[in-house]
Amino acid sequence: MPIQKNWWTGLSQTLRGWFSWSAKDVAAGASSARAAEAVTFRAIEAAPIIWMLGKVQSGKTSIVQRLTRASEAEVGEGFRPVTRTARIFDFPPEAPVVRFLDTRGLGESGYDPAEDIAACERQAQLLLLVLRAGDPAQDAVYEATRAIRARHPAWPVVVAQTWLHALYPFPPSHPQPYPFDSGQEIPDALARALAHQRRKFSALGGTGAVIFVPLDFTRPDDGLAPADYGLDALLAALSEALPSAVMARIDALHADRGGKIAAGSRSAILGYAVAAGTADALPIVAIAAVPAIQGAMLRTLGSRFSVEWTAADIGSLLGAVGTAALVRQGIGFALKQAAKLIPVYGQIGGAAAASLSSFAFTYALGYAACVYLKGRRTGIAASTGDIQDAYREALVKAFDIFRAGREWPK
Amino acid sequence: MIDPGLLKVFRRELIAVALLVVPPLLLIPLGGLWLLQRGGTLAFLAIGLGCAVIAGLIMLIGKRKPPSAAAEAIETPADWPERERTAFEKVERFSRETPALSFASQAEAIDLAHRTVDIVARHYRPDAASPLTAFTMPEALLSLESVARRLRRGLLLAVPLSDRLTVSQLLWLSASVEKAGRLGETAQRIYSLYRIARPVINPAGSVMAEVRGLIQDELLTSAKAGLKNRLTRLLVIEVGRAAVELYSGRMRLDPAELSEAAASAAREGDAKPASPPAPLRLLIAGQTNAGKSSLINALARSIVARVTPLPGPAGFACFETVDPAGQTCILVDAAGLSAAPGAIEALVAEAVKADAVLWTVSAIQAARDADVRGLRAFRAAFERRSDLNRPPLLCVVTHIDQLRPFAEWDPPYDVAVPAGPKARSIRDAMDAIALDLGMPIGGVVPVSLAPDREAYNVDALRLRISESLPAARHAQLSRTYARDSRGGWWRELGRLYHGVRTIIAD
Repeated sequence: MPIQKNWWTGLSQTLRGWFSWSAKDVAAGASSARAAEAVTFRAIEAAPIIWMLGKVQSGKTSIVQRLTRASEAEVGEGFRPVTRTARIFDFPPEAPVVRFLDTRGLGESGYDPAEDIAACERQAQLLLLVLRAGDPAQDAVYEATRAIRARHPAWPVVVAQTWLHALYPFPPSHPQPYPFDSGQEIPDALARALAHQRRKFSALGGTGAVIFVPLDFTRPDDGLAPADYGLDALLAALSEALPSAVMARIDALHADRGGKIAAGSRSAILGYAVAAGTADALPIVAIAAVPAIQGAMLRTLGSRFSVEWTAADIGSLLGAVGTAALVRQGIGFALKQAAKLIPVYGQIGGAAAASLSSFAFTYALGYAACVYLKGRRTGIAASTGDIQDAYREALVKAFDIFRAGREWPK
Repeated sequence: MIDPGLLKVFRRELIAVALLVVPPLLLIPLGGLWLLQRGGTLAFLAIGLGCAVIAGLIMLIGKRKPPSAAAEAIETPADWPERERTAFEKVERFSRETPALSFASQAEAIDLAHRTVDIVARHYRPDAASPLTAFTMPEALLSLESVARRLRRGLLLAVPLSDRLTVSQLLWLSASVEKAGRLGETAQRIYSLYRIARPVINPAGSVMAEVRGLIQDELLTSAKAGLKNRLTRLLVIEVGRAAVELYSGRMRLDPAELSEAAASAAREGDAKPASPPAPLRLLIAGQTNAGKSSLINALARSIVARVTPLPGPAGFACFETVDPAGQTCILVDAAGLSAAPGAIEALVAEAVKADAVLWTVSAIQAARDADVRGLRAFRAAFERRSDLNRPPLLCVVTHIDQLRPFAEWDPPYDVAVPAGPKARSIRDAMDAIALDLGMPIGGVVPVSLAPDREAYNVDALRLRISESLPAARHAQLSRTYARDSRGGWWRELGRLYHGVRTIIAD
């Protein structure tokens, strides 16, 4: 990733991009399936991979679910085979923010991770081991991790120790406050089981950090409050192990609460917005890329609402948003926000501002489009006021998400 | 036939009886005369004929069919392994196909027995030039003994009155038949004359006699054919069974020796002296942490194995306890099954030595690859060893207390008709495990052995184990036979020593 000479260069380039931004480019993007595919392809290439290793039902799916806020069905159906021994979950599938690789071949004797390493080497950022605390038979996970670390000694490892409740005395309840980082009293059987795994996996070899996180993600109706016990500890461990740019993506996923109007399209809008924000960090492609990404987003949302976009549709949507005024307003807001951040991330403030404006604009446009599309589908055209309200509301949320991401993509 | 001296002693009594009997007997001719005079002869004949016809009809309708050969159930020995059962099936088929013997000559029966043995011999030694002689003299003697014993039992079951007839009675019967043969021609001629004359003397009586004769003939022939069929079948089956035992090596030991051999096999690696009855060997298999040690503790009712959330000691530990039938049994704690090379082979080697297998699976362990592969190897091992019976297999599902909902534990739970959410999740886990392991749901027993609570359903498991004890004994017997035929050099040496000592002492 090229480091900006100074923040002003980035900002000025982006501003030039904004003023040359046109509804025509967006419409072109929305009408071309190939352009949309290209956007997805770029997003996949840019998305970091978190490589998960763990036995069946050790709790991998619920971890993915908590990190992405995806539904159980989205995660369950989202995994697709990528090698003979691994499957991958791109989230969201249209424009992945992050990807989870799950090795299924672990149970087979003599699993050779070479093929999986080759498949994800370039993008893998972290090994996330998922071990059931009460299951000491973890040789397969251990051997595979050792083999991977032998090849990539610097890859950090986060060891999630799950199913804590199986080792609690009856009736089970989580010790509060979370005692595992403060050395407080924990049930004896659990303490011994955790220590056993810790001893074993501390000897993985390699130079990257190995961080242990006891956690227990249950269903809300399981009666084990809180249902995402240890999630904060997991996020803390990830932010310790991951580069900040990658962590920012996970934080964004985690911070994005979406809106009622988008419902099932929440993740897609966020995905495209992140793609737009990341595209902006590469100044040369930004100008053409952002409208293309927005076009692809509108196309995806259109098919979700079963509405075919026409050039006139896009014209009227952007008209309702009040293109120039709102875009300028958005940029003004972005600059103010960026200015606040500059003391912290001063050296790349311009790029951050550019990313933020692209991210926020795309995000808000997505929500405005949802209002418009809903009107189109029901036949009762949405009023300009409704569309603008949705846009402004989403814009504020976008900045919240950005702040949660602390340091938006470099 | 009757002693004349006897007549002399009872002369007075006989005369008195005759004087009493003669007057009523006189009524028969007098009644006939009366009928003739009154012209009622035709009516009487008609009544007599009607009665005879009705009687005949009753006899014919109620007549039993001659027992068909297929209707008779042949008890296939359940304790035999596959190879023996196949041989026995061949014998059975032969017994069904072979026509009944006429029982006119001994040679015929011996030939049939010979052919039966030949069928079995070819099954066991298809490549031997002369398969008939592939056994030793003591084996053959033991075989004779057991054929005789079984034929006796078969006779009692299959031939009516065979337990009432003494040998002398049988001899007298055959002698009489022979005599009758000599006198036959004269008697036949006299009888024919009588049959011609009879209608003239007693027309009504003769009609009835003819009908009765017809019915009796019919009944006797069918009964005789059925009996011949049954005896032929019995001969083939019992000779065949003995031959199977002879060729499979079962004849090498008599029951007393067997029990001793089984005892020493079960106590392998155990210093205690052998004593009958032989303890059964129960293998507890399963993945690490499936709860094998806890299960052994629960079954043994006293702490004999270390329970720990860490992997147990390597290798196979043996513990002696009392089985549900109240007899000593050996619990073998198998090393945790894993994907590690050699783990499955070690388990299968141990399973071949076991009389019953308890396969322990944790309800909360979804990674069941190792179990599936272990069971596949276990089944394959017994397919290869057709001389062994596969030991009965029960799947014990542990950790059911940790299933959803986590905070509920209120046994007992009815898994046959699950009512609450806990019972349903137990049943779901059982179904999933049964499907993965290719076992019938009836072979899956859920238990809870949580250390901080009372063990649940272990009594039901004990009951299931005791139900499988007969099958376990079968497995033990077939293993003992196989073991004896595969080695046993020490035994041979011992026999040699005994033989030499007897000769010298004499």
